[in-house]
Amino acid sequence: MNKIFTIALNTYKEAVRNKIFYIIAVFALVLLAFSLVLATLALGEDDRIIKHVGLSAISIFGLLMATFVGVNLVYEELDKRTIYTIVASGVRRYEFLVGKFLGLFLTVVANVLLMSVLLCLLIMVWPDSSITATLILAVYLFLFEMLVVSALAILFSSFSTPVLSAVLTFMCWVIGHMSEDLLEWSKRLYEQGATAFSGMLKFIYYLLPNLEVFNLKNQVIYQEDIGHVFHHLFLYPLYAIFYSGILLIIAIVSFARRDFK
Amino acid sequence: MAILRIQNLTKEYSTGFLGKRFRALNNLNLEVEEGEIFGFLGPNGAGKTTTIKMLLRIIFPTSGTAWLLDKELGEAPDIHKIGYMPENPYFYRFLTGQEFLMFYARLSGMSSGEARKKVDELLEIVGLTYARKTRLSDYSKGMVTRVGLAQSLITNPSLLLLDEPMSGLDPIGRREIRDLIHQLKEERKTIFFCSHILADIEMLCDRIAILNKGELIKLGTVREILSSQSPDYIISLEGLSEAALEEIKGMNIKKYEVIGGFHHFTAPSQEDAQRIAQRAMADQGRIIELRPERGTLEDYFIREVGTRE
Repeated sequence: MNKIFTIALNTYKEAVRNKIFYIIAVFALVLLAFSLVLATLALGEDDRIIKHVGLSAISIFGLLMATFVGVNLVYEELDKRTIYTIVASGVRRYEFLVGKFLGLFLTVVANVLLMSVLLCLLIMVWPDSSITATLILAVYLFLFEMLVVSALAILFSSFSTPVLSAVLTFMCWVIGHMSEDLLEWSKRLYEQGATAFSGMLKFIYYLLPNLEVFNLKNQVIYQEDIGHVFHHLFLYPLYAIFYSGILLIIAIVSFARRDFK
Repeated sequence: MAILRIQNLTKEYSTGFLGKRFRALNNLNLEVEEGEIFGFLGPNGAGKTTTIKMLLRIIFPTSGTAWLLDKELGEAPDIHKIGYMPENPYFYRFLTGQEFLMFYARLSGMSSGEARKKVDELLEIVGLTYARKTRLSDYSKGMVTRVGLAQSLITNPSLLLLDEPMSGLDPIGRREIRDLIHQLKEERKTIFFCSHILADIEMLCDRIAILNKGELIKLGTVREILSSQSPDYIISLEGLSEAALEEIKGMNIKKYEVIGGFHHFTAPSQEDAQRIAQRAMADQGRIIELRPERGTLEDYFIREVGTRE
């Protein structure tokens, strides 16, 4: 475990010393500040505007961070051959990958928490706005969505180039947020007799993660009922941990017998 | 006792769209004894780095095997007894020299206190204490090589695999690394090192193996290898008449030059040198020098590898 944590901390250090970390953080801050301008313009809707723009900024920049930092992590180690001395130091390949994954997740968590604290400060200073339990829960669940996205980025970058890995990760994220729609389309197509196409959509539904379960943005903005708190607190996080674990196992297996040229 | 044994080690790669097989290393067999400095020599693409990468499980052999410190490839190796420095080490450029070495010390399982002590000691040995807080991105090539060597010594290993440890160093830096390698030998460490800087190999190594296009073409001590070729003979003369000079030039000689007023002839054999000496003495000429000249490792290497091109 010591080796995994050493690699994870080094990965975190690498990410926060990289310019991209600061570029993403600055853009997020600008967007959060922009929500204040919009809130002033939208009379009576200011609370919703701040929360909508704020949560959107957190999810977009969290996603960008997990994808763009993640897809480069393993690829750069191979490309710059830094992995040679790591493997020669007795680090097993699975320890390396898990360390990289944890380091990436730690970076994303730091970024998301920083943005969330800033959003909370904005809400606190704004007269007609208040921090709700649903808002905290939304950020909590978003961290688990990022756990899955980080695992996807690591999986793809363990066998393909950064550009392709970024495209694949982003596609999975988009489809992952359309999961419920996929199931609905599959049902309709089945009723219309297109069984093969319906089966294919159902397969994609089961194969890709259902990321919409981690999305409580509407419930925060419109103060809707969130349903079972137990699901949000435990069941969905467990689902994210389980799904990420499977992705990591696939990455580890594909990495285990690979020649590092 | 052999600390490293390589048996029929072979590596093939698939190249191109059709996956054509390319053999980077073919049936390599060799043994390295404990405490010796073993030079692994060959031009670029000979298979030197491929061999080291297989020994460290960075890549996997197509066939054959090896034993490092009595552990076969695939068994969990006693990795703390093996140090490795890669060729052109691309290390984490965002780390300082001290952080970089701390990272490897922590990976090897040292506590924070032990690691700090070891890192300070190694920075001192490789002469980088002054640059310990500088990021590797600001290091010169020679400094990166030195910090790479320090990294390979973190666990105080008994077997060191060094891939081109002198590359990128100026003459003073090379001398320092050579001294360090000698010092490591005195500590009974075994050093297996790849290089194409032949002068360093000649000065440092107890035994060498020469590799070309994935094939082992020579194995032995530098003396054995150089004495296996017959030497040239240098004869320097003065006071020769024009007629004698012309006659000697017509004999079996490899080279003729005039240096400082003396006539220098290079004869391919002792008999040829004697014939030249007799002709000079018959002409009342004076023999300044007559000596055999063994070629350098570089001469041997260029001839052996060159003829196989």
